[in-house]
Amino acid sequence: MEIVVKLYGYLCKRAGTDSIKVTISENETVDTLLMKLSRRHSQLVEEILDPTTGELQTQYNILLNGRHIQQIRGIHTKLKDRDEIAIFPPVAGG
Amino acid sequence: MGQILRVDLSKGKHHITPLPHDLARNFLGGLGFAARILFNEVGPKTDPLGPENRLIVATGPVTGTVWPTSGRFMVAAKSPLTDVWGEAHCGGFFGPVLKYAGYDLLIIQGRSKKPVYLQIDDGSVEIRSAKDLWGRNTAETINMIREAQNDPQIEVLSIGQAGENLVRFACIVNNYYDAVGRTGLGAVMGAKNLKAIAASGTHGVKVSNEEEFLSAAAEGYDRVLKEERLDGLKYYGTSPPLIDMKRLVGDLPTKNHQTLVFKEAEKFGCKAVEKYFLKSRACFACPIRCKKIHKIPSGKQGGLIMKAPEYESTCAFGSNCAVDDYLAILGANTLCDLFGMDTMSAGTVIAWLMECYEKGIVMKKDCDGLEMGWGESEAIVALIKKIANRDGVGNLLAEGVYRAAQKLGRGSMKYAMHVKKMEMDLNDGRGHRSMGLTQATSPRGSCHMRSIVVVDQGFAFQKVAAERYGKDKLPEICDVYDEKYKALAVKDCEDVYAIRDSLIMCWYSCGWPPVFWMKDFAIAAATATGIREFGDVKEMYRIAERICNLRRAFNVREGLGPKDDALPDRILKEPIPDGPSKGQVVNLKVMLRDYYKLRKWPNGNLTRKTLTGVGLADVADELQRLGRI
Repeated sequence: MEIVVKLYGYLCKRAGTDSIKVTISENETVDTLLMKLSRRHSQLVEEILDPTTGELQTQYNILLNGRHIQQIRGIHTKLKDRDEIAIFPPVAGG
Repeated sequence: MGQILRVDLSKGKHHITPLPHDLARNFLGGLGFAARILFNEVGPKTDPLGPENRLIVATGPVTGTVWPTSGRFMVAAKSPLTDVWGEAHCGGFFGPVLKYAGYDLLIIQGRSKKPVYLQIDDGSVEIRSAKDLWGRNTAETINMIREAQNDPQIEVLSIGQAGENLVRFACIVNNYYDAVGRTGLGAVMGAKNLKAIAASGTHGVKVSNEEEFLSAAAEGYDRVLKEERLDGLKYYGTSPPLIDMKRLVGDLPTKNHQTLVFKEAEKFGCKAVEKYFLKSRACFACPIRCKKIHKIPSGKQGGLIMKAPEYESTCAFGSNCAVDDYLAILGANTLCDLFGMDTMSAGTVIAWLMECYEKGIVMKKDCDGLEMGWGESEAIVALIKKIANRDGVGNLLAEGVYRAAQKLGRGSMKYAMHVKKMEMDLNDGRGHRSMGLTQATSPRGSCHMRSIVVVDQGFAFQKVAAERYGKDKLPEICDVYDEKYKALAVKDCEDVYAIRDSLIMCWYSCGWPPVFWMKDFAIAAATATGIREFGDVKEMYRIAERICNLRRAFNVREGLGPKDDALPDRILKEPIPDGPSKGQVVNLKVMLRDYYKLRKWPNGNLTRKTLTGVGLADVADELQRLGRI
């Protein structure tokens, strides 16, 4: 199974890419996905996770197929094949 | 204390008076001043396009100072689009220059017999012939005035052909692309035969407590510079990051709000538009530099340089008209700046015509032979020209979507997306719930700027939400699809932004992201003016409530009431058909009930008790005399 992690704004520059394909296994959740991601993109994951608690830094948005993961089960949200994860730095505009 | 410059175009005279202390003490500046003066001088019998209407150009106590993001000014009048309270705000450099010329406020009344422009140079005020300027677009007008006086630094506010032709959503343009955008204030200028206002000033602005003001401003600068939540604005501008986000979460008005999903919007996102980036531009005293200048690298339009559209304009001519061609959006946006018309209203009225065409309400022959299907960008360009010149079907659209639907009939009002006759901004309560309440209650008609809540947009602002409103309001207050606690946040933001718009500071310093809030405003106001009471946050909220009630009172005197705090049926009854917001509608009734309670407006009605409580006893007397309360 494979999912796509899309990065936006300055996070692309941190990771050197705007799209990362990650192979996942059964019952994979967002937090285990981030652990996997940290092996290849440690700077990116350090940026978005709180170093003391391991929780998502509050200013970042992670969307699973367009829904905020906080509206589902936070970083414990389960993933399935072909899901799309989007990670956003703080957004402003108008 | 500053001065008021009043110009009577009918008499061809002006006079200068000192700013009354009680006006400053009770209404702070900018928006507050405009609200008080407009209520005093423009009554229900005033025709918005008549000589009795006032055009008020206002600065605030921090305008022209070094306070970061303080380069803005505002304009108010009775709106020819909504027939009620009209206000619009603008960046650039005009506000500081007006202040340097010595004026906190400029009030224009009357009507000139022939086209004129106003030239202000410090104490010298002249009404000059605009014979050669009439019929010119905004950029030509600005250039001609600067060239005639051999001074490229003169600041010019100008209308284009749309304002001259009384297009009800004509805007006023400063510096080619900064617009006093909404509520048709360009038509108010046009009706007065006033083509432009040019200003230059050599005086500085003196603040009362220089040491404390400068220290707070320096600290403010530091916060703005270090605020990483501003990075998207600094690098990409106001549109691409938001387009990316709203596209993914299903919050991008598409096809006249039929849905909130427009996959092709990826073409307007950060990655896609980066290639056009040429340079950044800043307003006065702003380290953010959110304005982006784009250059088309190659092709038919290769080499053209244009200002990149804001989010609202991108969405107005993009997803809401189902246009996926970014260069077409760039072109439509530039044309609107040149003709001097509001991009949001123009895009929305065109989207309405496209939907009427889709539904068979209008045919090609009704649209001057234009193919009006969704995504027809050539038709959009043609219509912008027609609207500005009131040519053919453009004459219908120039009336704004409400009047156009009234004239057309045939069931087309169902597709007219407006609140209080003003075209909807490019937001939708079904994808961002508090936005519904913001749009419904804004005194100038559908508007996202007067009380937009950002802490509920996604979950990135939970910490801010908890600090402002209490942890017990989480998670509901941050949930985009939940009505709960949204009135609390909308009312609070409306109050804070009333102070922001009176000082005057930019939206990007305090809304999205929240760098400054009421405490910072209190420090800025007190140290700039020397009015000690402004240093008290509670006093700031009292002034804010006074201003919000006064704007409401202006509209109530015009005959508006709770029935007008409404949203189009589509937003209330048509569930979003697809995407992450699928199934969502807005329960406005619940949010309004909470909002009215917080405002102390029983069932949405102003009362003598509430008005007197915020220091507006005279306003209560006036409304009672007219039988409005």
